[in-house]
Amino acid sequence: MKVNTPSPAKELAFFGARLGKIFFNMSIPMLLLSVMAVLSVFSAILVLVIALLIVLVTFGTIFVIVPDFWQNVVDGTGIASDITNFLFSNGVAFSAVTAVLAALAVILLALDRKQRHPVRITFACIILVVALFCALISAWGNQ
Amino acid sequence: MKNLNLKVYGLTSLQNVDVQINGKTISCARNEFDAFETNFQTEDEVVEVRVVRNLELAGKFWWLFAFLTYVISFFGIFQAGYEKNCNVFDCVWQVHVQPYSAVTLRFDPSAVGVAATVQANVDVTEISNVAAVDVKARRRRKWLIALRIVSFIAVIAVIAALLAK
Repeated sequence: MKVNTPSPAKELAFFGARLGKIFFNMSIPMLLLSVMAVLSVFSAILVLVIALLIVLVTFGTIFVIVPDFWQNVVDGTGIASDITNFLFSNGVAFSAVTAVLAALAVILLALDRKQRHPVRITFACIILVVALFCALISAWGNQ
Repeated sequence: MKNLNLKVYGLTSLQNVDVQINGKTISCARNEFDAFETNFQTEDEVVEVRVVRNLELAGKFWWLFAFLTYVISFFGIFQAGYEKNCNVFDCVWQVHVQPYSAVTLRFDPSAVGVAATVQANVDVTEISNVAAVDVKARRRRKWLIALRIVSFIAVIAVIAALLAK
């Protein structure tokens, strides 16, 4: 049996749908970065809260068990602060890239006439809205 | 005016499948019984019904699109998978249309040999009804999966090397 070769127009349609799926896949980790950028301001506070909880739970004996505990906490807040600076200063860029990827995914998947992608399109719309929200917060915080 | 009601069972989607009547691709809607159904009106005595399954990796420019999606998806990491079922068919029937004609085609996408069985209340002449495995497409799919795995390992190794510095 001779195998039927799809026409170039059909191949282009396959390519468009595939690109939509790729952009959707890429928008998910970018959204995580965007949300982390917004929440990163709490990371240094989180390190201090965890350290305080350890001190309370061990009734202060942690300073005997781990002599340089406080130095470790200070180093930890320093690292958290570096990560926060990186994430927050690039938060608008992360959110913008996320929004663009999600928008492209919605457009390309909606243009696929042969197969419907309701789940991907719905989630891409949600990602787009959240990304725009994160962009606004990051832009406001960077002022 | 004669009406042809065509139902196609056994296909999960029409993404890779074209349903054509007299050489023109027609759109089919999924009905409540999970079949793709369409109503076609014609004045002709005989219409040609063709159902053909195309594979993404069987195209002339498969290598170009595969390369572009490989690059855009960051060396295949965010790539969507290619379809596992590499069976293809190109089935043609001539339907002798009556005022009300009903033709039901039942496909088994994984079948090799006879692609579909036909039920109809009118005369249907089978021109071709064969399914086969597209060996080239299957081989290309396996190569692309292997390339994706190797790329993933290479990217992890590069990231690990950069972090270790």
